Amino acid sequence: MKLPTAYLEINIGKRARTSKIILALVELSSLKPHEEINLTAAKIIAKSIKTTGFQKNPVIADAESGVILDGMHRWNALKTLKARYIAACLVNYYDERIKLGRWARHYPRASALPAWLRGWVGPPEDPRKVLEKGDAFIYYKGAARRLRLPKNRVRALKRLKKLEARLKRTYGQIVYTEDELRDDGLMLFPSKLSKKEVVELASKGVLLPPKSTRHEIPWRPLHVNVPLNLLKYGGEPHVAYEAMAALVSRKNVFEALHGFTLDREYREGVLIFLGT
Amino acid sequence: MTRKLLLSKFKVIPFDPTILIKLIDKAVKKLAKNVLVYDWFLDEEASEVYFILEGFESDAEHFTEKIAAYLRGEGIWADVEKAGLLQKLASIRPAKAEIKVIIKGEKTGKPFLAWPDGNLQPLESETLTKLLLQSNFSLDEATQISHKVQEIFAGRNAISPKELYEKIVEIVGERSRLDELVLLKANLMPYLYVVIEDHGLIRYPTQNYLAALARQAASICGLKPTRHLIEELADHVLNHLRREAALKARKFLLEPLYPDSVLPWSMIISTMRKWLKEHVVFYEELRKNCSIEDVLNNLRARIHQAEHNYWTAFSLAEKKALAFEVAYNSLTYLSIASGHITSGSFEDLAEASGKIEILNLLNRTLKVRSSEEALRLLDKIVEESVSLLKQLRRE
Repeated sequence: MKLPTAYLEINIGKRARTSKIILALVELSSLKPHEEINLTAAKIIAKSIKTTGFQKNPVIADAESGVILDGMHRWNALKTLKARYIAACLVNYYDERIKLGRWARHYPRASALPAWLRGWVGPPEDPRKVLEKGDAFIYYKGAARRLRLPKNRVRALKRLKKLEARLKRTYGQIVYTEDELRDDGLMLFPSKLSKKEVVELASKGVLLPPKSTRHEIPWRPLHVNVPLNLLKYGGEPHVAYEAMAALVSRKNVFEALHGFTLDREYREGVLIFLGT
Repeated sequence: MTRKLLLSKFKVIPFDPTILIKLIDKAVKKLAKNVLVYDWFLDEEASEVYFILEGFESDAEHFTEKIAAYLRGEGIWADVEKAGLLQKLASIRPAKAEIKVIIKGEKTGKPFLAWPDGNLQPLESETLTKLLLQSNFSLDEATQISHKVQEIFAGRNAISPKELYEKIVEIVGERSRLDELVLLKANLMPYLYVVIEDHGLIRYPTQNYLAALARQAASICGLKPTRHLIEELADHVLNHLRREAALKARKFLLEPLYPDSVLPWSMIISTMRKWLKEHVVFYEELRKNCSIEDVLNNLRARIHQAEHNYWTAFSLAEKKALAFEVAYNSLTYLSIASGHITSGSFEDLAEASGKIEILNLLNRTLKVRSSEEALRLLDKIVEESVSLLKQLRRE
C-alpha cells in the first residue's frame, strides 16, 4: 500500500524496543477487511460516528498489504456513511511484537458434551499440548479433543462457525475469551492462523468468520477523534492528509501501560490523544 | 507519595449526555480542590465518563467519590469502575513518544486552516489581519505578520489554528506582546475557552457550525435568509464568543486544561433570533406588530411617494437620493414578497430578489461624471424599479 503524502510517524518505547507506528488518513478503498462483518454492530458504530461527528479510534492495518487487523466494523460504518477516507494506524504486521492469536469460545452453561458433537471430535488428549499446537479442539472436563475439520482453511473455519452457532443454540450464552483453558462449562478453540494466511486470504477477498483472529499490537492509539467532515472531504487528497496530520499532531498524548481499562481492557500499551 | 497523573472511570445510568455535561461542568468547578482536573470526557458508546486527574492518589480517590456522590444526589446512578489492573484509578503519564509530521505532498494552492471539527477554510491574509487587529496589534504590525505567515506556510496545504498561533508567537516574540498574544489565542481558538453543548455533544464554535445554527434560528423564525445574512449572523455570534473567550483567556493567562465555559446551543439560537429580528430591514414594522402584508403595503406606499417626489424634484442630488430610495425599497419589497430576509445591503437585496441589473445601474450611476448621463441612468432606475412592482402585482 502506498503511504499518503502526509502522516504522523510515532516512535514509542525504549531504544532497542522502539515501536514505530504511522497514523494517517488513507482511502477507504485501499484497505481490505479479513473477517466477515456483523452488520448490526457496524450500524451502531455508524450511528455513533454520525452523531458525534468523529471517528474516535483509528483502525489498525498492515502498512504493506492494507489488510485491516482491527476495526473492520469501523471501516464498514464509514463506508455506509459515504466517507472517502479513514483514520488508520499503519503497522508492520510481520513485526514479531504484533501477536496473532485466537478467540476461544466459552459456553459456561454447558453441563454435558452433546451427543451430536461426538462424531466431530477425536479421542481425549493432553490439553496443554493441543493448546500449544494451535489446532482446533473442544475442551471439556479437563480433556481436549481435536476437531475433525476439512483441510482447506476457509472451509474449516466456516465449519467451525456452524459448530459455534449450534453450540450457542444448545447452551445459550457464549463468551469470547483469551486463549486459555477454563474448567467451567465447555470451550471451543478454533485453529490458529498464520499472519501469511491472513494476508493472503484478505488480499484474495476471502472473508473469515467473525472472531477468527485476535491481534495484539504493542501500542494502540485511542481517542484520536478525526472529524467526519475531514473523512468526507471532496477536494485534493493532499489537503485532507495534511489537515489530519496538523490536527492530531497538536493534541496532548498520554500513555498507559499494559492492563489498562478504557472502553475495554487493553493488554497492550495505550496512547490516549486528548484536547484540540 | 508523589503527585501522579491518574485516570478514573465512571459508569453512569441513565447516560444522558446533555444533563451529564451540565452537571459535570458544574461539579468539577465546585469539587476539584486538591486535584487538578486535566480533562474530562464522555464516551457515548460505553456510557462512561472519564476524568484525567493530577494529584495524590488519596485526593484523587476522594475526588472521584465526591463526584459520584454528587451525581447520585442529582438522580444519576454513578459507580467508579476499574481503570487500572485491579484499581479504580489507572496511572498514566504524558507519552514519551516522538511524534513527527511527515509531509511529502505537492502544494495544491493556498493553505487551508483545518478547524477541529474538520472544516477547512482558506487561510486569507485579510481574515488573519482582521483577527490580529481585534487582538490589539496595529495595522502595520498585523499586515506584516500576516505577510510573514503567508510566506512561512507557502509550501503547505493545511495547517491547524494551533500551529498558526505558535508561528505568530515565534514571529512576534512571546515575552514582548503577552497581552496581545493572549487575545489572539482567544480570537483564533475560542474553542479552547468556550464550547457549545448541542443535544449532548460538545461542539466547537467555528464559522461553519455557527452558520448551521443560524440557519436553524432563521427557520424557527419562518425566514428564508440569504447566504450573506447567514454568514453575517454566524460572524456576529462568533465575534461575541471570541469576546467571551478573551475574558476567559485573561483569567487563565495560559491555556486552560479544558474549556471553562459550556454554553447551551439554545442560548446561541436565542441570541441569533434576537439579532435576526433586530437586523432585518422591516424590524421597525415588525416591532409595531404589523403583519408581513402590512409591511409590504407600507413599503409600496413609500415607493410610490418617493417616485412621485423624484419626478417633481429639480436638483440632481435630491433626484439621486430619491432614485436610490425607490430602488432600495423596491428590491426590499421583492425580496420580502419572495420570502427572503436579507442583511439589508444593496448586494444582498439584489441577489435575493434576482435583480442584479438594478444593482449594476446603481453602480454605474456612482461612477459617471456627466450630469446628463447620471440623470438618464437615474430615470431608468426609477422606471425599472417601479415596473418591477407592477410586474409582481400582475403575477
